[in-house]
Amino acid sequence: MILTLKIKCGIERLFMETRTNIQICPNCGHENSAQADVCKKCKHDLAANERDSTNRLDKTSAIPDLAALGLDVTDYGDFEFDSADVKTHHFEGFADDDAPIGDGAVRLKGNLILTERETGKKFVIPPADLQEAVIGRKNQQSGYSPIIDLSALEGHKYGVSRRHATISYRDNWLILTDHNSTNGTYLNGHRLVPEQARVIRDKDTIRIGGIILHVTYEFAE
Amino acid sequence: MFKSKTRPIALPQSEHARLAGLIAYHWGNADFDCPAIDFDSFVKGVTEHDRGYGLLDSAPIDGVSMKTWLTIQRQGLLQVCDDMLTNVVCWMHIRRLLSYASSPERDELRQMADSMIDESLAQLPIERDVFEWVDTITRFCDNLAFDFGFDKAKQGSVEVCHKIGSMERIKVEYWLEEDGVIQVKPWVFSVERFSGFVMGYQEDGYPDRLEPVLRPFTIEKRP
Repeated sequence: MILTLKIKCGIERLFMETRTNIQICPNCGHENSAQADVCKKCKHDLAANERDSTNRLDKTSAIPDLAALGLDVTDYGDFEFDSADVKTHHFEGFADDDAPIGDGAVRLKGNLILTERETGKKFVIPPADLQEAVIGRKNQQSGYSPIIDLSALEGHKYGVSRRHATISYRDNWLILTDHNSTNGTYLNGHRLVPEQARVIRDKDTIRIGGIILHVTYEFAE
Repeated sequence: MFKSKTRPIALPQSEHARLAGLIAYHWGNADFDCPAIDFDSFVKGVTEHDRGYGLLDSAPIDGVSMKTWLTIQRQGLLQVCDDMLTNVVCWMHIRRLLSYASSPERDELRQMADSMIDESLAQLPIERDVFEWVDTITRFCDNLAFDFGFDKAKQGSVEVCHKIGSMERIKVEYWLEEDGVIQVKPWVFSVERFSGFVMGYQEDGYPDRLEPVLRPFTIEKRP
């Protein structure tokens, strides 16, 4: 059976067009018209939603010369997959929590350090914060900031979602999970399937939207 | 993903990428020049040579249809980064894979790769031969990491360029043993030997349930 993404995208687009006739107020849940700037019920600033929405990265912006080739690199709609090759997953956990697994050298024994490639900014995350460390950017409306907050690194410009991905510490392993983010999470150059966990380890490279982070394990003495 | 030929272990593409990149990172000695492009860009390009897999990594690497494989290669061409040298290293690899056979779809993609490469080279500007030279090393790193992914004893070889300014190639052979020892002859690396491991997972339940399995390797000189 052939799954044609073009059709799927068309259906989704149709759905989106239907839904975009209204906008739901994040403050009170009231359904407002798509054109409304403030909520008719509670006067909440609806335009702030748009200002704070995730910036979908135009891949041509990274390499402007590709556009000169006439390549629409943002259009993935014509791609066809055999459905047997495509599977979505939901992480259930580790198979055997008590199993002696491998070499301790891959297990985190100290802080996790994420170093941003361009600026060298370091995020030092102690194990206590790694039960579920959200990577994302500040929610301007609620004021919530994730533990690994990329706002100051122009997260919005670089397509970071507010709740983009999480790093969790389970059974001494660090796992990275993308939360269906707009611009994706990449591990060593490979885009992760949303909600499909992967163990990350020392010297891995993570890309969050357009921001690249190098992983360092800080080992305990 | 790679599925071991000898054990129920799956290996994701991100680990194959990491191993290929690690091999590239150690490239070069008195007999084998480093590429004539920025070394970090080269290593990154080798690491990301298969970057089109991503969302389709749940399927066995040798079990996808040609249609899906072409989609993966197309994604590999279009998933660009901000380092043009890295992109061209990746595109040269994909272009080579596409050239191994001919069909209207493959040929169309290959032409697309050629257009992207030529346009980029004109802007850099760097001669195409420089990247043809680099691509022989990409191929070596990929082949070695690829064969390691299947977890089975095997011998292989790749002809690589070894002196900058010359397209002359030398056959470099490798031997993989099931215990993770990899021997290479002639020796192409900058260190005497190096070791590491890749992170596989027990195939049962993967990827919904993760049971990590470490696969150590040591790359050393063949006596």
